[in-house]
Amino acid sequence: MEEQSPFAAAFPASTVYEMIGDVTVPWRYTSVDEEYAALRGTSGLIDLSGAGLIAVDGPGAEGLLSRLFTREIEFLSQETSVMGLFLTEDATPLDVVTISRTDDGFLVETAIGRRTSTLAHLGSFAGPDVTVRELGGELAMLGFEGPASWDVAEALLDEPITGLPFQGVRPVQMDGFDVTVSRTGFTGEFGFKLVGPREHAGTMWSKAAAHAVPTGQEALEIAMIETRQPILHREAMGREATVVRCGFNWLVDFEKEEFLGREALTAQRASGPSTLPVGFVSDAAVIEPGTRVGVGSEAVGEVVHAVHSPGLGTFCGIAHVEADYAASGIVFDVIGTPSTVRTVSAPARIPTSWGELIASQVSQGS
Amino acid sequence: MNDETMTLDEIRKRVDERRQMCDQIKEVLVERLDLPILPDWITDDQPLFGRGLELDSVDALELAVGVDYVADVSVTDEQVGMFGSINRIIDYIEAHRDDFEDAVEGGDSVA
Repeated sequence: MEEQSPFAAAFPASTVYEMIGDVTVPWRYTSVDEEYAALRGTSGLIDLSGAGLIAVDGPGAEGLLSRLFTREIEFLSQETSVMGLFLTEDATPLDVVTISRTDDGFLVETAIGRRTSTLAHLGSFAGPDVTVRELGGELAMLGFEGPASWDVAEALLDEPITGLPFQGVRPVQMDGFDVTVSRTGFTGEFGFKLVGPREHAGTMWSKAAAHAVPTGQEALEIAMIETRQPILHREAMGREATVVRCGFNWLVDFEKEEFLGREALTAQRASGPSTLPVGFVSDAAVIEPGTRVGVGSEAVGEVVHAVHSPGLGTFCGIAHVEADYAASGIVFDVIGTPSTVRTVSAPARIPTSWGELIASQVSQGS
Repeated sequence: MNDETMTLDEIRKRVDERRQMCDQIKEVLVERLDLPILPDWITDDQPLFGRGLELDSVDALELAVGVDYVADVSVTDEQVGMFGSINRIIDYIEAHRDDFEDAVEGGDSVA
């Protein structure tokens, strides 16, 4: 039987759920517009229990993850985390994971709905000197993202986390119990994750909900598409997904000499991509996955995923387009309709938090 | 065909031009910031800051100087969005310097 979210008791009756991979997640609590507005305007509280938390421990843990992960972890300290991919041998993206170092080894956080498959993947490569253990029964994870999230962190935690860098990880206390806070997220906004004991999940959620708006996966995915953060279950499942076709290059350190899938990826890189991902906006009311786009009746690509963005006031999405026609600023016909899509540069919507962050960086240097 | 839609030949030409500009900015980025990555592995839409290319505030200044040098476009603290991706930088350059294409076609140095 599927395990219920440790926060589920706090969810309102109006909550709508959706199955993603191997889990059911809260899709919307009340209003997608209000939840999206929280992510971009204040702070949205996100149930992240749909992601797997996997402990990889033992003397062979680093060797195992070095062999499978597309980023370097050799110099990863306990104060930081790194995001990358697990690939299959033929370089198909299997999961987008975030890895941090622990006292006994490493903590692997999977994408939403990828717990079972990633656990099996790690287990299949683990030798006798490695233990791979899923921690969902012991831990609970939530996130909060939005321009006001620093204030939320300050209100929630028993001690200040001033200066915690992006991707930083720190053990802290919350209401007298131990939690781990990390400064990572999905939307381009200021974002934090809290991992704490599952027995305290109710307290974690209720305290956070006093400062941030419970926000479902629907609003989260809208913000992720706007900023082109990888949504594996939309972009890379059930189709010929490769790292390059999905635009996941930045999750792979090609300077790393060895990882599972590297040989196949090298060959794919050498042959060049047949299609490339492009972001688009459109006034078309429905842009279903598989919808063909092109010129007149000649298709040069198809829609992978699209949503209505309350922030943009239009539909936005991702299409895979033949490489010769893939660039920002191109208008394509939606084949068989009078509608068009216009390809746009990422991020399609500038995160609100950047206004403070980057402006200060530029002015400090000038 | 919609009024705004170009022909396939026109799109290919436009994509070629755009790609040249993107490639030049990627080379500037890698050279000026001494990044341990080949320029062609950087995608046009990947984030430059945060966990994308993991640039920081010092890199932001260097990048702004590099864009000024290669495209003769100065960056102020109001243009926060231009640091979002290579594509965003090109959008900014195109909006602020019409003759950038001439510089690319003329083979001007990027370093």
